Amino acid sequence: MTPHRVAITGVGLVSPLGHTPSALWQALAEGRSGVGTLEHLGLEAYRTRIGGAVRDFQPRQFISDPKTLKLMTRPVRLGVAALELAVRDAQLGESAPGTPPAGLDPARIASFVGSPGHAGDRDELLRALDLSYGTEGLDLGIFGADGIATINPLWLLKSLANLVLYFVSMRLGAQGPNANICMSGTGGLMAVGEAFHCIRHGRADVAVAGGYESLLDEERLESFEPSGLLYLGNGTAAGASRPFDRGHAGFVAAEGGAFVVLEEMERARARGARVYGELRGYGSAATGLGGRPNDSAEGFAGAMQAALADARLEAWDLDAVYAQGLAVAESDRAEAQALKQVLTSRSAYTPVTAVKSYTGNLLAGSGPLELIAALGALAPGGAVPAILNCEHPDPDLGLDYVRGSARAGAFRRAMVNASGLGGTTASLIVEQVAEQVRA
Amino acid sequence: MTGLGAITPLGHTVAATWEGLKAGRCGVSTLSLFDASTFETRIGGEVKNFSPEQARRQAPAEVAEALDRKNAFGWVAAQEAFADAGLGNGAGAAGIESSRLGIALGTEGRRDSLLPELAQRKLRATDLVERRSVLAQVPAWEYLRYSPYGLAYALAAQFGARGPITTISTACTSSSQAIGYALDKIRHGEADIMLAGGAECLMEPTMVAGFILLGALSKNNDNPAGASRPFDRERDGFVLAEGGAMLVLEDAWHAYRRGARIHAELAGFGTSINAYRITDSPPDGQGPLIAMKAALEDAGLTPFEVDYINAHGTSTIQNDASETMAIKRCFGERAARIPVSSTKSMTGHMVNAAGAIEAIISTLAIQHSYIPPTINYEHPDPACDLDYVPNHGRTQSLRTVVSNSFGFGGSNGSLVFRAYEP
Repeated sequence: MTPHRVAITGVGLVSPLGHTPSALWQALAEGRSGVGTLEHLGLEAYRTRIGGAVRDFQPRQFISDPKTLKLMTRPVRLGVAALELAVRDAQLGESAPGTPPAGLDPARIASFVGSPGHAGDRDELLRALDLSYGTEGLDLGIFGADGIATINPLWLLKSLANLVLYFVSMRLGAQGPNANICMSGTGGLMAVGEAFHCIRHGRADVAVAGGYESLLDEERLESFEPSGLLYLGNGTAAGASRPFDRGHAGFVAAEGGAFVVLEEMERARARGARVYGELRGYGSAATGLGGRPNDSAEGFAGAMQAALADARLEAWDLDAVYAQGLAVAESDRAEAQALKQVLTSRSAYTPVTAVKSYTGNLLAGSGPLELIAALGALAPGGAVPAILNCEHPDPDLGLDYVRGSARAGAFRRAMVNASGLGGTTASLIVEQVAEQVRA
Repeated sequence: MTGLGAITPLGHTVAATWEGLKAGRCGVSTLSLFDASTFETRIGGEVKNFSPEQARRQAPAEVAEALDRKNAFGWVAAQEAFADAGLGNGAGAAGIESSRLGIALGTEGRRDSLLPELAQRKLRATDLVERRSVLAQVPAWEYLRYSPYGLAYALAAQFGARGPITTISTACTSSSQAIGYALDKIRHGEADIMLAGGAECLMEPTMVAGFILLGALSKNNDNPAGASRPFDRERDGFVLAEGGAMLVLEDAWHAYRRGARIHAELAGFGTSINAYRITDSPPDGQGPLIAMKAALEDAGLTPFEVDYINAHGTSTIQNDASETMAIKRCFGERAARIPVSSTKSMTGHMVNAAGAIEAIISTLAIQHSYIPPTINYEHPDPACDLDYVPNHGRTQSLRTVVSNSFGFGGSNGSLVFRAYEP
């Protein structure tokens, strides 16, 4: 069977750089950072006041039912908002919850989500545990007899790892292939990659895919703080995230969601859909027995080579790289080495950028967000954004880091990289189409 | 499938688990891992005589730190599966390239496990400053134990896997989808060998509390061994269980060339999602039906060729009726003549690991020409009127077996297994 071509026909985001693709592309073109101070979030015990927060977010615009809203933690709300925006953007047609738009076979709508995993409302549990103290500390006898009954009966559902996947299925009445991938910062890009392969191999006509995360709450920050990977300084906000710079000081905690709608190309064209780009290749690889962070040059190179092979392309076919650019020294060095190795003689001429210098790290949300960022470069009049704060490239290796201001030019194909704490990397290649949407 | 490994409430190995299933033994008992005496449900399928220390002592240091109870189950099962495949060292074995070895797991992270630990130290969990001072003493990478991807990372390190690695969390369907993911990677040439499976441990006060609050668990505390009774009219909910189950999947030509023993062929996979309600099964069985049909189509088979169905059969009122409806719609008049059994009647519900243990049981059923029973089946339910292989297993030659998994959130997975023919 001839593989199908796969178009991106909808994008949705709620991010530190705004909630529309044009806001995102404009901020990147202007070199405007989305990292700021976090006073509004009340994170008193967090050691830094700096993060990539989503601002002006009104969940009620996306989730009208108050009961449903109560079931959602902040990261889930961000994810659901992003998927809602992507679905609206694709203009697949109206439909009631749990039913598909006219002309779509529910069994051929796929949904793939990159998720942080099981993440409950801890405060609710803490209250119940607090009520269950005897003279010898926590008394499970009291907890069982009296404590449990004080917890919201839906507490466990609220923590469900695949809750956003459920809401994707409800939004479009999607009943086809699906998965909820929990691989830290790689999960979102893997979700898009798996959805892409699903349509390519004829198992679905349409797919919704993306990722979401919020690191900006006490529990998540507590769990990441000991890793030594987080930015914990208190310098200027816009200067905190420094990928590929000698001063890399850890990744800036951030939040957001980003989703895309993928569609079989002929179907998209037949309905006159707006096409943002074509997905060409996807690959993933493990980093092996890792250092910390668990990134290695072999891991990055393995994913990039797998994506190129999947696309039947060579390194010289790439016009830009949207790097993982974690802003952690070991990870940036591993990725730069891998780029040098994969791009070979083209490494001095292939622009490399790092969107995390603008947004901080959205983990599972970052890959899809950076894919949407890359679509901005493919459009006529598009540009590859400069890496913010990349004053003294490290490692240098003669790579073409975009610095100072955005690079204008004709960019036909871009590769997007993602890596995560679970020791997995992924790469995705996206290509311009004839009727490319203007940036 | 060239390697199988399992640790379950029925035993610490595949062989011990299979013996338990053949004997119709139930692994459910009164909970002993914590004091559940005042809990509304105080039974579960525990893995007996096991401590994660056993696994930690054997594992390399950087792997050992990721092994909490759940991950230790996964590690033990993976060891057995690789040894069974004749690949004890993973990518270290002769002729195995690390970049062609991948891992796909169905499991979840459990941050909440920290809470009772804090509580035991007499710390008011709401006292932020003190809590943080305790957390600051937690070894930097201990969170690997609590993250969903910690087990995948540990197993990749242990076995030198450098190919595609993933972790899927779709509740009870996780490891079925992980096996499907692995099949896909091998078919499309991204890997020669995939370790696929799941690990689960929900025997924590907070998680048991969560399931109690949803009203999902059996309250048959007085009769633990009779509590998991799929398809029986008196069923009142599922029974949580723990354990690990892992399979080595291998490109058939790769397996043949190295002279590996082939247990059976993984012939097809289908997945769907209900788009219905978060915890409820659709009464019309539509989602499960799509998954079964897709799996058969993927395997190039028709409903006529299925000899046995290893059901999801959780022992909840809704699931068992919904699954029965889906089977009837998929197989038509043939449905009444196809043996359908739920081995959860013996193992309990291993949630994230359920799809993987039932994949192993389906494989063994083909290999041993034996259909394990649904035990505790006493009262026929008009809503469940198929041949559930009640209480006694059957010796029967099997060529094709379907295994179902359905989960909270609505994801479904069906796997098709075939007797291997070169």
